[in-house]
Amino acid sequence: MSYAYLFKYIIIGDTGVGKSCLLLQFTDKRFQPVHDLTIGVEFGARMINIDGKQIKLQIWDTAGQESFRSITRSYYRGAAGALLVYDITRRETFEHLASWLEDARQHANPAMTIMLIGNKADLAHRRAVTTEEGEQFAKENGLVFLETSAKTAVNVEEAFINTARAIHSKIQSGVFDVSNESYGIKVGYGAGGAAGAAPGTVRPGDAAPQQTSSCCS
Amino acid sequence: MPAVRHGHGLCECCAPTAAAESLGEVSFARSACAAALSGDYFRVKSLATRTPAVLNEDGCGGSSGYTPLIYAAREGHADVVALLLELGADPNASTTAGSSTALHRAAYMGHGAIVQLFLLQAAPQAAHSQHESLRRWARLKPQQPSSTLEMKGAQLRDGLLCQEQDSLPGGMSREGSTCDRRDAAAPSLVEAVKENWVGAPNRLASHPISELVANSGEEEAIPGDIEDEFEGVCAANASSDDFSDVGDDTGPADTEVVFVKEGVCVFPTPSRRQRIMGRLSLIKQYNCLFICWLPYAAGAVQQDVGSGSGSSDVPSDGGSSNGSAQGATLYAVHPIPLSDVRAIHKHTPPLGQHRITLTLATGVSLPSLYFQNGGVKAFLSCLRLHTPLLRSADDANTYLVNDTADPLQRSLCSLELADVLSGGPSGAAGSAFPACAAGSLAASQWQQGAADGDMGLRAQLSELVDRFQQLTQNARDTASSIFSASMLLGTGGLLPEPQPSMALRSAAAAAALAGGDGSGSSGSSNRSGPGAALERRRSSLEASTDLGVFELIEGGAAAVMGTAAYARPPPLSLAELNTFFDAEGRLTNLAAFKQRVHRGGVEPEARPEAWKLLLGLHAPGSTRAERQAEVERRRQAYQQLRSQWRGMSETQQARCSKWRERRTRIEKDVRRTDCSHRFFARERSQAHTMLRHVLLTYERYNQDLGYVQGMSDLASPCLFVMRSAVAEGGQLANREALGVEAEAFWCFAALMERMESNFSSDSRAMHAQLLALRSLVQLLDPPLFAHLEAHDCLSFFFCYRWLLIDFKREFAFDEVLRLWEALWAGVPGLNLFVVVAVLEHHRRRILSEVFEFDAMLKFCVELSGRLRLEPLLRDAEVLATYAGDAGRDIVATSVAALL
Repeated sequence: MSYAYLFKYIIIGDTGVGKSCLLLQFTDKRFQPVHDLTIGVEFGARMINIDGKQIKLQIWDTAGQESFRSITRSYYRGAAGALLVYDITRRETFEHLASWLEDARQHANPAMTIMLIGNKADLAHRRAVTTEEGEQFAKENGLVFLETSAKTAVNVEEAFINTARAIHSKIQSGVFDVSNESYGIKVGYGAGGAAGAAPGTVRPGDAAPQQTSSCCS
Repeated sequence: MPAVRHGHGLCECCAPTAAAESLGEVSFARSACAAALSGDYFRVKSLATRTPAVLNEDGCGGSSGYTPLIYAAREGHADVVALLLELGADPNASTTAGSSTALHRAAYMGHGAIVQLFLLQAAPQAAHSQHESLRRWARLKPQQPSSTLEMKGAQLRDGLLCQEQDSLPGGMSREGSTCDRRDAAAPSLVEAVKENWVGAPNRLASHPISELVANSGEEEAIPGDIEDEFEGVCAANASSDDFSDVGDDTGPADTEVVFVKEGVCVFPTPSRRQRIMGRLSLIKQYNCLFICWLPYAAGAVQQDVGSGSGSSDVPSDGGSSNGSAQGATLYAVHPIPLSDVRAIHKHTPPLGQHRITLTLATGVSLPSLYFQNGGVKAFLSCLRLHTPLLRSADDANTYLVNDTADPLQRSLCSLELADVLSGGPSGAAGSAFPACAAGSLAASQWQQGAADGDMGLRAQLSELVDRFQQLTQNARDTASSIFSASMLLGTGGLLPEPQPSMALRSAAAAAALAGGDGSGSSGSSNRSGPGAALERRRSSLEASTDLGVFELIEGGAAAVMGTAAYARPPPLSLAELNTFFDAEGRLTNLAAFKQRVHRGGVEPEARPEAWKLLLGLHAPGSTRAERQAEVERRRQAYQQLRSQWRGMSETQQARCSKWRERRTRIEKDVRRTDCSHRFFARERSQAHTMLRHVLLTYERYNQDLGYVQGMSDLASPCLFVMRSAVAEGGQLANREALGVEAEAFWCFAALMERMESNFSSDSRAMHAQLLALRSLVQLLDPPLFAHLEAHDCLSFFFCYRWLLIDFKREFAFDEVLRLWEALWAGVPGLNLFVVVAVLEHHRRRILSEVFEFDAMLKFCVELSGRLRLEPLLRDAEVLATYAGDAGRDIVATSVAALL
């Protein structure tokens, strides 16, 4: 499948806040209340469209427990976007945001777009963190904020797509050097990406390149 | 197949690049043919199951006549061939251009196992109908010049290629028609094959020469339409981006008992005053036949007063025994693959008892098995149905079982190398025939065995030895690999005289040269990228030795993959497990037990007991009664530990935040453990409650560590196995549940003794293991190491989950049980070698597709559920042996960190 860009995302946050469910809701459009807990890292992908451009999101879903922090840090490298997730029904997951953010700032590239996600919005009756608190934290740290529900799919699309939009506008404004892959962006081919097809790639549908038959005829 | 012209991958310009990726290649890459070509069992299965028509398609929408079966046969993927035949692929399908069939291809490429498959299992009719042409195909390969020992590798190749061309009949040029190939009248197919295949390798093996030819890139030497077939190799390299269409697992082990004879006995003493009654059986598993004789019960040695009466074939308890009870277990013939048996001698006197004697490939004869009430003939006819029996020319009573078995293996046996290939300790080497240790006896005993046998047998053996002389090719490879191995292991190129240990180690490499299984080693020159460049550089190295100058043909661990020379026996049954105990229930030979488990695994019913022994819950020397008492003691100890948290009052809990946090986490994670497994599928079931109890109790038992994610993955198999000891069905009563929980808890605790430091907060043990892994890859596969290094992958973090929970998430649940047994019973650090084996199995794709850490990580994450356990276990063992002392040193550092 052709795409103009590929963005690498990483989903971080405490264990049990719903990272894997968010990913599954976004990639498969379904909610699976019970699934095996994530050890190490899992991986998902989906194609989206921003301003008429096909963009492939490659999303890394990490394990939340702090004993895995050292390994999680190695996944930050080359991420263009991050979803920092907490659970609005568990206050401690909100309180741990600062340390997550510190990790991200330290190990990711500084231009990484971070979206703060207050998940499990469907459980409003058990809410332990107010929307205002979330907004406040996001504002203080320069993050974009959304409350989502992986269960009802509320705001899930927006969370991923708004992040992609932000990254895309950074590309347009020249913040990123897209040829440098440490920004977590790869230029794809086809679909008329800004940078066009990267040299050496062939668009499907093109005639097969004429082989010189010097070697084995 | 015009669309994929050039795509043979043999020349550098045709290395797969994005630029070369045309639509034709893409469609080929997605076809069953490509999957068959690359030996992707699961993908073939998935594609062919979904659309059976692909069995007859060439992958390019053309009418070339190629089928997945032809590709798989040519590449030597025996498992895929077996699968395709099972799915109904037409064994007679032939290519349009050259009318060659899958069998032709297999024969030509030297894939003996596949030829055997056609001959013996799948399509004997087809084989016979093709026999004339096959005869010509088959003879192309094995007859090779024997004087190349002193040649430089390059000359060796050239020489072979010339020879190759010389040996081609006129019509075998590129445009050759098959009519020309069929001119010779073949007496029979079996003979035709045998003539040149004095033993086709019976495991995944291809002929070294065909490897050379295939890798040399000089396709002039490849006659007829074989050349055309190399098209599409590149396409097969291309990966599909998603693995969503991966099929299911292979399913339960395909094990079948094909013959049982009760009342077969062994006379442990010459006087025949005692006898041990038992059951002789033939077991077939994955098309591999095993022979097994087990005494009825420990201590079933009978006094036979009316000597030779032969009337009693009723098993008797050990009551009447005055002989050594453990004698019975000593004589047990634990399943031996038929490939390890060289000959069967039958003795059927008109008066007296009939008996058979098995002579192993090692030359050792097992004690005679007496058929108390006849049945030798039935046994032999049954055997004949499954394996070719050849009556010896010299002695009509001797049958050669394995006349078509792996010649390399046999020649290696005579070089004392069997031990290396089988990888295990030579446990039973001390005495003449106890415990039937399959293939691990020294040459002296080989001689001894020959001397002990009767004259006819000896003549037979010497005939076999003569035949070995036809296998000088293999011997040469052995010799050259001795030097290449010494180079690889950093001992320098000069080796004044081959040390025995070095020779042993090199045997594996030698076998590898003969038998790259296509997954890792085949087509090294097809690789592209920097790794390949390095490899090319390596392959131009020469080793100078006393015997001449050798080129290092194939380097690294990839060369030794797929070479374990034994078949996996069927899992250890409860009955067989009991033969390891003496009358009081003491485990008499822990090493033999472990080796048996390591090789074949354990049947579910025997698992609870076997696991407790493996994990050290039961001391090996403990009697049955002592173990029973232990269970009770452990139950009480567990109950006490459990009451520590059960008895906590609300107020006490309120004051212990750490406990509350861990408890919440455990409760959450228990529901997220093995969700899809039937045992846990129903939420809030008793299984969940028990798992929760086990983990909460462990938190109290080991408060320093507490609970860390991943531990539930380790606890759940323990619980599952211990639960299986109690009758299935419905809820357990409280007392029973407590018993199960207790055993599961102590099992888990014993397992955590090994794994605990994986979970420590400083991750030191994990880092030590990753570091050891890095050193092992450096040792075993320098080109791969260089590739990983060049692309910033040396942290080996992509193996993190594999090591953290011993592959729990990478295999199906039942396979995990099998894997863990093998790890516990095997050498320390075997898990690291399993990791290396995984990397080696996917080496080609890693070298050609992975150019950054993220890609490597993604690649490894996506391997979950796609790994095939048995080949990995086999190769891990081979790698461990191959790594030798250097490997042991590396492993020792990581094991030390674990303790």
